[in-house]
Amino acid sequence: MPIFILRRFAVLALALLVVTFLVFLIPYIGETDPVRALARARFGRLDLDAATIEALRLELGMHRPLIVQYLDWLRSAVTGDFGNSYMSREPVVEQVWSALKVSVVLTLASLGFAFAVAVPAGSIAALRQGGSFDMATKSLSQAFVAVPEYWLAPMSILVFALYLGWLPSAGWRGPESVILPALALSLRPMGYFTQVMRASMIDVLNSPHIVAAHSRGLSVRRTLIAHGLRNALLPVITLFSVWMAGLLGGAVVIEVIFAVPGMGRLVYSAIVNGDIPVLQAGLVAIVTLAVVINTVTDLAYTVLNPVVRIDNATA
Amino acid sequence: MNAQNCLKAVPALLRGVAVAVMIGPMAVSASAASGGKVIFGELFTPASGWAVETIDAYVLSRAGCLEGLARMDYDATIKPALAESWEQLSPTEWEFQLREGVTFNDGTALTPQVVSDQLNRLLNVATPPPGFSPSVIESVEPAGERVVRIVTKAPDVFVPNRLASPNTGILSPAAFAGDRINPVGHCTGPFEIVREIPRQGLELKRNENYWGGEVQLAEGEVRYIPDGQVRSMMVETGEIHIARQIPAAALAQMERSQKLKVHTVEAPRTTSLYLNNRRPPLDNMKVRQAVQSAIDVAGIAEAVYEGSVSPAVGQFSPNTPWAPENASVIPQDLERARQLLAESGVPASELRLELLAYVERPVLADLAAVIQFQLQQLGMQVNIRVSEYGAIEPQLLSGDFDMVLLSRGYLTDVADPIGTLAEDYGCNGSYNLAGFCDPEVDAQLERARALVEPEERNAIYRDIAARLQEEAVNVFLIHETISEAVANTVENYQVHVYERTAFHKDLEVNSL
Repeated sequence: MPIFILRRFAVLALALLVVTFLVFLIPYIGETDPVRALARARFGRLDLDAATIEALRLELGMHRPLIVQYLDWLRSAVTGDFGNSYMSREPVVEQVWSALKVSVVLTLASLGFAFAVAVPAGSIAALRQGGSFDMATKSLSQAFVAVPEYWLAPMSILVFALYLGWLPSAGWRGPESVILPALALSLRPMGYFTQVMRASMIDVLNSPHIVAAHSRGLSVRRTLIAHGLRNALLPVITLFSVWMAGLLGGAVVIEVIFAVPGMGRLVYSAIVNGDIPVLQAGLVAIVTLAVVINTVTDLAYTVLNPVVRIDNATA
Repeated sequence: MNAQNCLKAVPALLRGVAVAVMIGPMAVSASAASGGKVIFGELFTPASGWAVETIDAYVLSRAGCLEGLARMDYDATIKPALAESWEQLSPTEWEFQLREGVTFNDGTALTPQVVSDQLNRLLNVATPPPGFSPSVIESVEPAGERVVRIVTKAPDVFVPNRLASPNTGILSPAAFAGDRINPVGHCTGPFEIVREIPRQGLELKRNENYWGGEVQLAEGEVRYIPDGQVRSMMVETGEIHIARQIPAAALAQMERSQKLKVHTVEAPRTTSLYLNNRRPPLDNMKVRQAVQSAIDVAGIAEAVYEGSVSPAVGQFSPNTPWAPENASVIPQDLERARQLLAESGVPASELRLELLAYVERPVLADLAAVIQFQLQQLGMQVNIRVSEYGAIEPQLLSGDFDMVLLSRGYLTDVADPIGTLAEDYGCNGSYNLAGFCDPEVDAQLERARALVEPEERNAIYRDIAARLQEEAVNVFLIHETISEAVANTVENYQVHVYERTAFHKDLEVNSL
């Protein structure tokens, strides 16, 4: 087990190093001059004279060779100092931390909704395979996967905010404001979770140990809870961790439409504005979390599944 | 419990669910006090740490917090603000008499030294605002108990104009005390910022000691809502009272609403097809005029913009004093266009042009497709390339393009088109994409810079505008408008087309 954990941490460090370098290169490999993008964002105008651009380039140290800039940045980043935003001149860490808190709440709320619906729905559909509930679950889950967020989000605002007046349209000002964006964000993972849960539960229900439990006289409910659910949940947990990592920084559409000040919007604005330190710190935070979540998932797997535990112990 | 009761219980249930899933406490909006509260839906999220030289200053200005020595009124006239009067002592020297008894929210008095320190700070930042930079301003210094003297490098009649920009707004010295600029409690305007919620908004309360008199509203709030459709829906649901810049697609719905008024005003901004006058075939005036005649600007205003804008009569809107008298829309005339092409002597094989547009303004992609179709009727082959502005900018600045669609404001640093005319059409203009260069026009602009009387300057601008249209230097397509939706309960609100004022002392709200 300790070797397994050490190996996971080595992978994490290597992944971060590669990612930081790629992230650092992003602003320079596009067609846009990041200094000009930054100047446009600061002054809100297209006609910028060359003197302004060069003054800004010097101020930010962006006239230095790329590798010098990268090593400088990496040295500071290792100590947790990601520098100041080119736009606001404020410490990047504060901006990223503030956005990350919002994204964690939004992601957990949306995946919580998805999980809470998908696990019972998928299980019941598997138990009533071919029945009307199963058919309805299959159709709905496919529809949930297909509905684009840019359509769903305004529609949910129209229905729940405009016509029914139950919830605020946008913003991040209290518990009510979490519901609509979280629901809109939860639909697609809900569809996937339901489909995977159903398929996984069907597999488990047909496995020899469940058949044996039945033959020993255990009720369907006890068999499902004691033996079926735990095994059937494994693929859903994997999916949960993948979505968790993805949604932390990938909810840009939802965050823009609902004016949620999360990581997706922060990173998107940083790209548009040429705010390289924010972009770098934001992406590093997202990737770090993704790798950490994957590591935690692997560890959770070893707890939930004895076969994986044995494999890791012998590796 | 019947169905109606069930429906009534849903919001409470949803709130309960939300509380259960929340991690950590979150801010809950405060209730309105006497005098009422107005919530303003702002499309722009400040990101430059309240640096006064950046567009963040406009948000502070609209919030009724930041003021400068002068202010620009709704009709673009320059009025006194923190300075009660000014005088031009010589072509390069100005004196501003500060208003007596003005204090910042923190109690600090407004003095010539405070003003001078801040304007000098602006001159010394790495990237000063273009309208108040060391290339224009020689010095700023206190010159008496209530006097600030400003000396310019060259004769300049626009100094009060420059000082009406939010970029030259004055904050209390305490705002600069920390390692970041903090406008909370450090303004002079009718409203004081009491709390900043990062990337979400500002909470305001009235300034009880406002120099301009009693402020009607008790509270205010600015909410940053970047999506236009969401701003529209929020003003419809009553979550906000005023929504800035309503998208054209939402206008019809807004106008049908019984609870709202939609204010639409013409903005000092024109969308044009910029033509590269430096290289063939568009270096030929007849070809440019043919392009101009082939484009149906009235149809574009009606179809592409759903009638929410007006077709262009030239560089400037007909409602401004800079549009030539009797300026009118050039109607589409394909016969004339074909004749002009024939007169140009340019063979059809050379009429292959690339048309650039940028994605930051989504309508430009549709506009490009319409123009492509209309020019194809002349036998021109037009390839469209739509990209981020940053990606096409190097091509534009180096003159390596044929045509580009651009939306440009013509009053940027000062409320006078001299800046835009010089940058876009002066031989040494930094944004002269068309490559237009005529020493006669340069001389006219130089003359205008020294003219104190606006009407004398305006005559020159009208002359230049007529020339640009006549020679089809660019094809001017539409004059843009700004539409804002305002709840019926709000009183004394007016759209400021120069985007400087929203919260002012007379703004009021009736109870909902």
